[in-house]
Amino acid sequence: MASLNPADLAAPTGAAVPVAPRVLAQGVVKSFGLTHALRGVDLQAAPGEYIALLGPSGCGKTTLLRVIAGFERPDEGSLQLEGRSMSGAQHHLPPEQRGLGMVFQSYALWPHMTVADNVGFALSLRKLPPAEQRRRVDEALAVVGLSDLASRQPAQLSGGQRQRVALARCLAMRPPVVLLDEPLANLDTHLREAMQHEFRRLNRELGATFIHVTHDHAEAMSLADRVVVMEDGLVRQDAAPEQLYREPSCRMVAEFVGGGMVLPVTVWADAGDGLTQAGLWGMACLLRGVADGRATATACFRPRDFSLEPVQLPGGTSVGLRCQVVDSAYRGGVYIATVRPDAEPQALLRVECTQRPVPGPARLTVRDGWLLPAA
Amino acid sequence: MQTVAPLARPSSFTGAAPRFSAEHALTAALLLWVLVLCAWPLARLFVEAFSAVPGQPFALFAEAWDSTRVWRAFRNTLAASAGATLVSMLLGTSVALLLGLTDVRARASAVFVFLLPLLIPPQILAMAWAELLGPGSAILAPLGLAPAPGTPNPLYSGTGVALVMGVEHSAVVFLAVRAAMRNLPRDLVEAARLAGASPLLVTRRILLPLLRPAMLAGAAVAFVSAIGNFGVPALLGIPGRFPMLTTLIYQRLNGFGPKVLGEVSVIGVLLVLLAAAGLGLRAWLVRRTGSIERGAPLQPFALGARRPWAEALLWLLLGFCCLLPLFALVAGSLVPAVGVPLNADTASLAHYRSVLGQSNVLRAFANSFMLAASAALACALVAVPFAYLATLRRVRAVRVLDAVADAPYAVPGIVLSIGVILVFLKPLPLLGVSLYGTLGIIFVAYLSRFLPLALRPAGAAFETLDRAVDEAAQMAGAGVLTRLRRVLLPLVAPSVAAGAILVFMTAFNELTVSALLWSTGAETLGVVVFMLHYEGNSPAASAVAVMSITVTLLLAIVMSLLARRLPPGTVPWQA
Repeated sequence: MASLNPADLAAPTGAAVPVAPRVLAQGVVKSFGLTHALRGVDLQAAPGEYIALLGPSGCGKTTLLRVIAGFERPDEGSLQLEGRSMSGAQHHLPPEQRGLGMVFQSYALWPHMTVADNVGFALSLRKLPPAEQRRRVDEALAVVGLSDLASRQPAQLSGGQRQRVALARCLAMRPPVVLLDEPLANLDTHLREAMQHEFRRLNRELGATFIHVTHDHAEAMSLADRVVVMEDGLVRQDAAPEQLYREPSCRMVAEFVGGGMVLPVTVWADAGDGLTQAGLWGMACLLRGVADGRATATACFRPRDFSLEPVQLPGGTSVGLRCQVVDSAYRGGVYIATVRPDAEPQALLRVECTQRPVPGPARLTVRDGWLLPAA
Repeated sequence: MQTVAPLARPSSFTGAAPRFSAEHALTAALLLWVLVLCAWPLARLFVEAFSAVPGQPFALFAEAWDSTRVWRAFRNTLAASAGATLVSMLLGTSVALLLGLTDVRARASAVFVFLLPLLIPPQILAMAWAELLGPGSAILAPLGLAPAPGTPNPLYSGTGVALVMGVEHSAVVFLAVRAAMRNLPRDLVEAARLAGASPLLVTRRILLPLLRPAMLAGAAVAFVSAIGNFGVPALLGIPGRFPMLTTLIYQRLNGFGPKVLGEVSVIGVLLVLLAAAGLGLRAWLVRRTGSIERGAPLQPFALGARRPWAEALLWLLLGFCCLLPLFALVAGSLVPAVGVPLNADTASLAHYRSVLGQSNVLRAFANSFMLAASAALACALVAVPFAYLATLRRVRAVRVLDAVADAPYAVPGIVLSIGVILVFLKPLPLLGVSLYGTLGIIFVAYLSRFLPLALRPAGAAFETLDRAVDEAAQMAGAGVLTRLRRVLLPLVAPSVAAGAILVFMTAFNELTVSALLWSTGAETLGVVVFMLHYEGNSPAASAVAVMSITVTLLLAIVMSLLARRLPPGTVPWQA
């Protein structure tokens, strides 16, 4: 596939402010009747940044995207693009005057136009000279590898091809911000991975800011520079993927991202260096994070934070919590054991093992864990 | 591990499948019903047209070809229908766009008002328009806008016929465009707006091209309706000396009786061919419409400061096209005598009293009520097993019958009447009496004509049912009649009732079918209104018309209340 000259597409602004964020949403509130879709959301995106909006359905992520696009007018709060106000208390710029690009989940290709007409529509509205229009359409189709299909109708394309046309249509405008509304939801696994690479590459090459709505945490983590986790109309955490995984801000993020287990612990002592000595069902463990004076707290554990030991070590000693291995499943390279601690028979824990665990009694030890901050 | 109870063994299967099941019997009964009532009259019409002169199948066609009378009616029909279609398309599309794409308020009321003409039979609509724009107009005269007294009514002309039919059928185009608009996902509009297109530009470059097939399909149906329309040409065209094919049939049969059956059959065949061409065009357009992926529905464009202007324009249009004619009709029934200005002092109910004292009016009310009620009941009863076998069981033969049953409603009503006369003029076999000249022949024609009105809602209801509901009852050992009565009928009852009400509403006021079939003692309401108007007693005709459409509107309200329990689209005028 052809590559683009970044300077060509990155919208050069007057650089009036030293580093105005490309997108700046502040205190955005939006309700639909009795449904509070956004309840005071802040979002900031730097030029060229790839941001994922992640959350379960109904969390408000799509509404936030549509506020940025201009389809929804916020009830409260403000939105700026490159330092210019788009929506505020007094005014609201309609979407057609914002110059943003968007890839829809349904692709939204206009069925009565050819591929080239779809891609060139925005350019024809901008009254560019025909030669320039043609050049930019060709260029955008080349970027997504569809130069041969310019004269096709959308109905004659496969799902992956339609996705690429939708992307090309959005890129031909050379938008400063590209909005992606669950763009990969309708593709099969193989195509999805190919398109993920494509999004990353274009983001790097074009310098446009990408804001990508998804409910798939793996997709968000692998694509984005920064992941904004939303729930119930609020931002729960806004952090780089690594931090999101290692240091979730609350139970919801811990459980939604990477399937963390959130368990109650007793705080024993501050161990210094941001570590805390704590007890899990009476067993001592060293956790990352600080208790801030709490006597009890909750901590997030991942399956790989636990390990299983035999009931009796050689020499008759034993370590860890008594537990029962209930079941196990092979997950490519490792086994995930389902374990029921004797101290808390209601709880079922998932433990990563390198060898197939034997059902029956065993002992559980803790290697790592993250003490969730005070709510 | 829990112990699992041993599986029950199926009892060994002994009997062979019955060669002739209850389902087969039902299918055979429906086959007989559709063949006798729906297929035979239309087939007989064609046979008559081609075989009235023995040995010369095209003799009557050649005669029609040479007849200036037929040519003139043919030209008039095409011209008036084309004009009406243009009016329908402009009016229906603009109202659909205004209501579907902008944030004007009171949309549900606007839709109801715009679809009012659907509830009012054409001859009454034509009368209402004639009252509104005629020299004696109770609405326009006080404003000094009515034509001078003594001058002919301007609507008694080809233009008048085209305008009134155009307004009447604009609802058809409106419904087609609105349905297509509901299927357009908002993404398509939003993608265009992000590309920089203003709402007006989105409408012109994206929406109108995507809606064009629906507009044309709606226009094709409006054209077919115009070609088969009898009420409007009868009320406006006959006094205006503007004969059309439907009124020509009426006048020939009325003047010369059964001996011209062959001649009018040829005109009937001509009408059927025109209607078939229109419907074929529509089917082609519908097939050609590519499937668009579904998505969230369109969001209306905010008009901002221009909204009051748009609303004023909309209600001016609706008020003039849909409400004023009805006011004029009511006013016309309250005027003590033609030409007397209407005010609080002169308004009188004398015409209501007078028509209710006439035996033929009272008889017509009783006849139409009986005919409509029994046709509604019979059609609903037939529709349940019919739709069950066609939709839920997907019995091939019944699906074919379903298409055949549509024909009597698709062809012009007056053409169906010719076929019914041809079939039932002769004494019935075995009984030795003829239905001709009795209410019986009108009843038979209603059964044929209005079955599709009952079939569509029933089919829609079965479409939403899970087949497993029926199959579970079958597993429980219920035979087909038991399942229909105890399981399926309760589930589809609201839709079947809606279909029955639709049949009643349409049959109660209709004129097109009974115009050729009535006889003294066997008049329908539509015929009485037509005759009173024809005799020049328009206040009395208006009074009967007001009473009869009151019944229809009350039923429409009942059905609107029922609408929440019906599959979407069952109630045609629902917003």
